[in-house]
Amino acid sequence: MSGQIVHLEPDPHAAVQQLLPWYLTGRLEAAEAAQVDLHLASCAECRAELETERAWQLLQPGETAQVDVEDGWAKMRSQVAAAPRPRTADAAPAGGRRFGGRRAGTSAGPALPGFFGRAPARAWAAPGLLSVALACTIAWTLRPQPTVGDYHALSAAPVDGATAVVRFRPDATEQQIRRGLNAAGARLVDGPTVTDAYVVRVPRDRYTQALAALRREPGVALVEALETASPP
Amino acid sequence: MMPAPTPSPARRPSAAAAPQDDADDRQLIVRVCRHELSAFETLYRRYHPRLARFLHRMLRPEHLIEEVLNDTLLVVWNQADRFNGQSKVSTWIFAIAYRKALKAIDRHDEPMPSSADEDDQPVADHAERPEERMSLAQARVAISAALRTLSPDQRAAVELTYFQGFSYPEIAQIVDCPTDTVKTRMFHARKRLRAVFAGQLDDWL
Repeated sequence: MSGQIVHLEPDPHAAVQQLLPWYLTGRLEAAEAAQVDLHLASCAECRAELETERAWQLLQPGETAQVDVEDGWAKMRSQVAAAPRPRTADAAPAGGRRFGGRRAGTSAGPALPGFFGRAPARAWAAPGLLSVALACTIAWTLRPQPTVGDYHALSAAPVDGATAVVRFRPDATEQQIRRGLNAAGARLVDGPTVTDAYVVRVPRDRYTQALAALRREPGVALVEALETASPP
Repeated sequence: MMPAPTPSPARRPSAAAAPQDDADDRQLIVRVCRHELSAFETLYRRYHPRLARFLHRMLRPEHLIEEVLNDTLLVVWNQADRFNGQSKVSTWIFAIAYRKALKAIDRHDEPMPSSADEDDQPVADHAERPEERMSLAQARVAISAALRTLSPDQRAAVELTYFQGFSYPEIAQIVDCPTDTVKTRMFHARKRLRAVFAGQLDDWL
């Protein structure tokens, strides 16, 4: 246990005092804000504290670093132009893998459902939550990769098959995954990606039906087409 | 005597990422994943002022700020596909900046106050001379000096809360600690600021 953690929740006054900075900035959940409102009505000390907080925010130091955005961008642009982007798997983990990973108790990217540990179900249920990660996966998957052609020898699917991204539910069983792939005539050709998604190849002439079949499977959380549906 | 509270139409700092801002950021991240330099430039220019300000609070040597700022955004360019969509883009970027700043502090061996001893340090003598009212400029200098005496963790909490507009769960994500720790760091930082400004804030209320 960290010695820095102080649990003051049993004391409503102390709990409200801790929340005042975010009450002031309007960044509390509605229930917490209501709790603070209720307490402020009867606590002069907290009202005074709130006014002090307000003054601090008004007095925020205005100075900032003497760094010029144009200079910075010029340096960045030349740096980006000089160095090719590394593959994700080869890159240092500072950008994403470690982000929240410790608290989630996971060590690597694919175990993303536990990313922030506390509310994985809510996180994945939020509308559009996967959109960025999935689009990045798609973009990354489809980028030119001159050396990975042989890697796809894993797939014995026809070379004229069409690809899609599939994400399985965290609790999907191996049997469910296999049944879903078989129902759609799909083969795994890549993955898991950092977003725990897989690239599958399905017969091009049954692309729409195959994706629909995948979506019907209980073990499948998300199916995203990577190609247009029309057959050749 | 304080008046009864006006239940808060609490203010949202302008720096806070509104939902539309985050939606725009996500679109930019998608395009950065596709190596679109124009999207990266937009993101760069959007975050440069906020990060410059944040890093100014975190780092002392000015020359480090631009270096850490560009290191941060270079990670965004190189690893945009690592953003998994479960937080705001701003939270992800500030988390990178925070870690980069801490590494820079370690690398340059700056004598920073620790979380344990900040309450013992003298910060200003305004509290000892309540008859002397601070001007606005003096107050800003004093608060800036007071912030400098906080530990990096506490400075980050204050900056991210008051001036960058993050919620405490978002700050917990940025600094990778439990939410209770964020509240505790803020509590001690505010205690420190109160000591600096004891009796001096009436003019600004």
